[in-house]
Amino acid sequence: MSQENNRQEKKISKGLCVSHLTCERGYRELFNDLSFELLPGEILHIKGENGAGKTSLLRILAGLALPVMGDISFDGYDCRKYRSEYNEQIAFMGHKLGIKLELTAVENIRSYCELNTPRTEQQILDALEKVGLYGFEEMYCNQLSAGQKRRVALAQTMLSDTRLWILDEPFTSLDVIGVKFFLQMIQQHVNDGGMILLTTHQEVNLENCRTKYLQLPSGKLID
Amino acid sequence: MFNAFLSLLKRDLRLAFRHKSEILNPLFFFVIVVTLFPLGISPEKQTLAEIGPGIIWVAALLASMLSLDSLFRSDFDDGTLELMLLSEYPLSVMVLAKIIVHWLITGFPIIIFSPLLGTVMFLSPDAIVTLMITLLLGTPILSLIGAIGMALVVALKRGGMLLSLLVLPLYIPVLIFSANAVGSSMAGLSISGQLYFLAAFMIFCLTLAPIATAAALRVSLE
Repeated sequence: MSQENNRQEKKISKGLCVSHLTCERGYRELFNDLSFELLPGEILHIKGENGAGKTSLLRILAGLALPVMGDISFDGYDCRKYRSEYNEQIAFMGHKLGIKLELTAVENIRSYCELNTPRTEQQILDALEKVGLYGFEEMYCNQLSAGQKRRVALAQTMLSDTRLWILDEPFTSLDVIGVKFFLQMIQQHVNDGGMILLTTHQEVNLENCRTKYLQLPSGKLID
Repeated sequence: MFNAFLSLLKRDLRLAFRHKSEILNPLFFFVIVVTLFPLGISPEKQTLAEIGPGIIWVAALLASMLSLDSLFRSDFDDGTLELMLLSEYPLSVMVLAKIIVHWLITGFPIIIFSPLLGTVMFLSPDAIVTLMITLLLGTPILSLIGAIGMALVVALKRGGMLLSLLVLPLYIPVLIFSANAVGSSMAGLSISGQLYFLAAFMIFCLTLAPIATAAALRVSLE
């Protein structure tokens, strides 16, 4: 039993491992031979100028795009081979928020949860309250502002029972309070043993969180 | 998995009923196209009864094809398609839910309205029943095949023409066997062969099209 636990612990400690990743867009090479590791309780902040390949890297890591070369493994398992198991572990928030404008905030989150981790109505309402959308639950998303729509997407991510959050420019359209709340959420997730991969032009300084920086396109990793 | 399937089915039906044009436009298109033929060709009973089955089926086929854009386009635009791809449940199951909704909002209303249009085209009562049966077996095939084509062009900005080129040739067997079944019914001939073919083709598409569509979606989004 203890051996089994040790083995389990060993697997969990592996986190996300990326090796020799190369990506091209058209005939242009975005990055080459990129390798890094992301362990539980860590944040990887991907930096780079516009067009450096930050979004492409996140899409590859989420399994939405294919690299030219390279391997991605999670807990020691090949992500492409064990796609369904990997999908259980990740939450992705891209430029497109993944919310339906013709549905209310509650309906959107309910629908998201039913496709991923089922949640009770109360949990959904609590999440909306936490992201500052109390009183907007039954409002159609096409009546919400850009920042409020992002908060709905944020609530979705918050309710996903996943270990790795892949966030592409998550602070876009958010006001100061929204950014502050999101940073708290990230901190909480990391402190709980989660992992965060994010791109943002904003500085992310969180206490008690191990943040690594990856510069694109060079692939230089700064601890 | 079944809960995820049901959830997507309910969500898409809710969206369709909030966007009533998604249900009404294909239906209006179908009715208008069929009623234009008597005006353009001849209002004669014999002529209309002869060409009626083909006209109704071509109109149903075009109405179904024109509404294919609603299958994945909005999901692609708002990012929900990406979230579907990242769900832990099989994409083909979710695709099947979306195809069923597409059939419910385009194929099913066409079946309901077909007796009226059959009467306009002077089809016999037996032929109208046959027409309904062929539509019941054939319109799901249109949605299933159309979904594969739509999945292939969803990421293209002007994929409409390409979609027609991809999908219309595959619709031809359905059109031939269905129109022929209604014509045979009018002539008092056996229609079992055509119906067996349509049923077999529907089961074939039902089995394979969701898997092919899921694969096509993954390729398109990459």
